[in-house]
Amino acid sequence: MKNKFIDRMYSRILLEINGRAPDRFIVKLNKKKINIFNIEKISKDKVRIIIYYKDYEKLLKLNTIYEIKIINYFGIVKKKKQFFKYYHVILAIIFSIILIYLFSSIIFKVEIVTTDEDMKKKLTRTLKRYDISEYHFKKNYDYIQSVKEKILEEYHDNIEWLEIENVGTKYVIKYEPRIIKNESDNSKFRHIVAKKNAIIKKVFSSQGQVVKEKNSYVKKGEIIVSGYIYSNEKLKSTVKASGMVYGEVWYITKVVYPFNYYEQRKTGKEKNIFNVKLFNNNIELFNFKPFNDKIVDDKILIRNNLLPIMLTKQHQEEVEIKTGMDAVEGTKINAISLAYDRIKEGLKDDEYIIDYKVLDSKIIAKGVEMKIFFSVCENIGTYVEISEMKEVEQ
Amino acid sequence: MLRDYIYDNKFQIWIFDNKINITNYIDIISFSEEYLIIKCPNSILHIKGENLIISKLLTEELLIKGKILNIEFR
Repeated sequence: MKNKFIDRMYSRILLEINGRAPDRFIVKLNKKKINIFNIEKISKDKVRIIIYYKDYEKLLKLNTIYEIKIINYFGIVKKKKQFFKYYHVILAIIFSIILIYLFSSIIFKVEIVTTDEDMKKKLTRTLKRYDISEYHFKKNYDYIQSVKEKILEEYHDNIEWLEIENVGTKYVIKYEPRIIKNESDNSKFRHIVAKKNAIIKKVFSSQGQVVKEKNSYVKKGEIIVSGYIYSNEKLKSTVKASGMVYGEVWYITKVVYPFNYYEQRKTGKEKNIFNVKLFNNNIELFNFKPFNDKIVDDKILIRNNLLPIMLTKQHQEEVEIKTGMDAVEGTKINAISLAYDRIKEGLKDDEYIIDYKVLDSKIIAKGVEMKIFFSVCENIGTYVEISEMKEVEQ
Repeated sequence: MLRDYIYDNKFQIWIFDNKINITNYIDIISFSEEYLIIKCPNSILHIKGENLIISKLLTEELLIKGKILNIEFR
């Protein structure tokens, strides 16, 4: 009756008492001030009682001939027993939660969205300095903001705007390059001169006087479009020459191409499979006859933003790879093609190869060595400031 | 009276259909399935019945279950 609420706080225990006349033992417990909350008579010699867990030791001391068995626990002691019974499961869950938290707090990739490789390297180095790199902990919003400000300050001339975005376990860095217009250039008078020896093919001039004819040969540094405007051999004005000059220039390249060749041919066999991607490992599901060599087209079905795991559907096409020695003629064609590609790589969209000619070809131990002559149509004009101003004649 | 109320020392007995609840008893003198003798502050309580079971046995409270035939204070 008294302190009912406090009574509830104590843990209780269900005991089974087995022996002759257990009622007497129960009365004895009562006389020793042990509270019994429930008495259930199972049979003549067997009863079940509920007492405080704290009285259990006292009960055992009072016991003489009875067999006492613990059936169940109630209250805090039950939770304690359950914890110790399943402690490995509970520990595993706690450990997993910590692990998930840790993995989701680590940055696995820093992606800088740009085509400017030089700027990418610079930014990667700078971000590393501020601890924003792979396998480091994620940073809080304030820190990211302060880093952004510092980077913008550091790259004031190169970056107009910068964004560091946290997408799952990676940082995506986007920026807008700063374009600085050279105002001083606009105000200065200039000529267009040849930057290399060439035969002029096309001249487009929006300002200035063209002083060289089409198909004429110019040496490096010669004026093609002049900033001086002459009329009747008198200087009438000085302007900022502008325009484009295309000329035929020549290159001689030397290439060595090996006899080895590599060929990849589709066999026509293809299939769709499900694949689990964990880090850089692929686990193909139910693929009992995997292809030795294949072309794979991946389609992401499920992606986990926290963990580096994803489920993909793969379209696989079997290929046959052949490697071996090529014939001399084939190697020569490959060598020319390689040289052609190398020259083309250095050209802009409006520039092109006019013609080529093989000057020399010899077979060496490694393969075929060739010397090839290329004639190329490219932009040969460059601006040169007029240093000495002439007086305009009236 | 007030003292009993505050300290909850009053002897009380509640009789239901098949159970009796007694508070602030002194002692159980005798106990069997047919007969129960309980010492109370000013008298001795005799309970006669069938299949009598002490369902709750606390130091100040007692709950008896079973078919009650007769209750007598002596």
